[in-house]
Amino acid sequence: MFRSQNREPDFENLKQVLQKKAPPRAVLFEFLLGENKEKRLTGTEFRSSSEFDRVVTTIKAFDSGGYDFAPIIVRGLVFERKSHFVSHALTKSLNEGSVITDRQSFENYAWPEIENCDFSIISKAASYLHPKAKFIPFSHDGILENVIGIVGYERLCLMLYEDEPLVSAIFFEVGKRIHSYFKACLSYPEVGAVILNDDWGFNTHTLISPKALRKYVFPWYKEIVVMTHDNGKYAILHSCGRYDAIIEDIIGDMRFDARHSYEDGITPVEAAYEALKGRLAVLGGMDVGFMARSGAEEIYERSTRMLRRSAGLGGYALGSGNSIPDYIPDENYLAMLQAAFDWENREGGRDDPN
Amino acid sequence: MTLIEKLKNAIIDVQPKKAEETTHELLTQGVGAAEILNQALIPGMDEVGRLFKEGEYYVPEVLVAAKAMNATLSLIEPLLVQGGVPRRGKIVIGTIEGDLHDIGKNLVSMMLKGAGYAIIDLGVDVNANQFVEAIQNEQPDYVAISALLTSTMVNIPHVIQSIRTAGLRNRVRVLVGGAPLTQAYAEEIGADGYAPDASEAVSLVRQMDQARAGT
Repeated sequence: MFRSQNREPDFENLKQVLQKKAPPRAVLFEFLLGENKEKRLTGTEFRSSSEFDRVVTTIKAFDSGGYDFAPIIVRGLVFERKSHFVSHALTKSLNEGSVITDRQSFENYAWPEIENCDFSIISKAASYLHPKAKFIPFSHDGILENVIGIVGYERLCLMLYEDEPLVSAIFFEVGKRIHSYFKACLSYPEVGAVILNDDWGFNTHTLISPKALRKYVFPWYKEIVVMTHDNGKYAILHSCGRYDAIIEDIIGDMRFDARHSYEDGITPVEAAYEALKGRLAVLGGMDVGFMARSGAEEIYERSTRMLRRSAGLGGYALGSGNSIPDYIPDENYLAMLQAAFDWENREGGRDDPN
Repeated sequence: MTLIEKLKNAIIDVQPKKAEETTHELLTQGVGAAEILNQALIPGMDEVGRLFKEGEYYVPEVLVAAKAMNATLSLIEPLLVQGGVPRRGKIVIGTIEGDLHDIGKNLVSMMLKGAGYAIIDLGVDVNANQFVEAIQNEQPDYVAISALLTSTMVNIPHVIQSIRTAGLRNRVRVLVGGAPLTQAYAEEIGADGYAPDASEAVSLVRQMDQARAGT
């Protein structure tokens, strides 16, 4: 157990952050941890031989790391695409794997069905969750990501101009399935929030125009967020890339509670927080490149500064800008966690015994 | 509106069919390929680059504009070759070894092609030997290398070193770009230039051409 015994998980802390309030102690947020990081946090309790083992390991890793929740994915909703395997490659192209090229391939496409998902894993795994912690489900890619996955990015770009009805039909088929997925997740009392994970941009622009996003993508998320709020839960957007042109859609139209994914090369988290505080909770933000290349002390200091910046107004949880891949040195990741653990005692957190 | 303006606008307004039809009309009227290239195609793509840079256009608009550009180029390219009209320069481009991302690289290729440069696209996952071989065979003015991740950009210095080892470093300018790269990193690894996006890549190459012409 990496956290201290008296820092017990309690979703109420993250809830305060999602309500844009100041939590009683420093709150941590992470979307995904690399396998080696989970090993580091769980030690001998690490298991990965089955899907259930993997879920339980993630629960234990997030508990050990001092988080108030555990992310969970229910397998089964995978939009099949062609795979192009290059053994030494470290990336993949958004043009790769396209299977829908025209109306006929659209008609022939084998759409995944929500019945393939066994949502009962949520209640089964809940017995491993700390009693005060909650699950935050996410999906196997989001609506735009899945459409890009099955159409190919460049083909989608051309299709937007050449076959608008087909584009609409593809977004509809993907959107309704993602909607059903989250509807099912939200019915579980162990779920406290959802992560709607869909990368909408790259470092200078959104992947398609805001106008196209508003037409094909945002209406689905607006519905999912309404459904989430109707269930008394919270909607977190995890979306990479530049977001300036669509931030008012995220806050005012879709009404997300929080946004995750920040990069120093786009908008450093400090600037993002200053711009968004009070309107949208800011989660994470320690740039992944910064975490990979800097020293542990530097990461500890920046994390502490960020906690200090947000201490009064709240609406912030400390974490990485995206996720904790295994190429981030363990000591760098742990330095960020330590900054949160030390915060209460160092700089007057509300539960400071002194 | 002249036909040249009509063609330029067809590219800016992302209308490939109209671009193709207008190019046919221009050629039927005896307008030279060089004039079409210099008066319609290059200024049209320049405007597309400006609109992209200013956030008015997004990648789909650039790709469809490039399709309009290619519709014109496919008609005038044989005439440019026949007429001995030189291209502005030759650029070998590729995504670095270990990296399969190609969208940024493709955008840069299209914008440079639209600016009048001949492009030799080596594709993705290109290793140092392939870059060196392409320089030897194609004798380009520039080599442009793209990377998406911090974990793949570290292969770029190996390419620069291999170019140096092959004795080709003084014959070619090395340009780098991609999400994790910065001007500082480009300088650190000994590249000649860095561009943060496709339209900046065109500006960079033009500036370097001007600087070279002035020396």
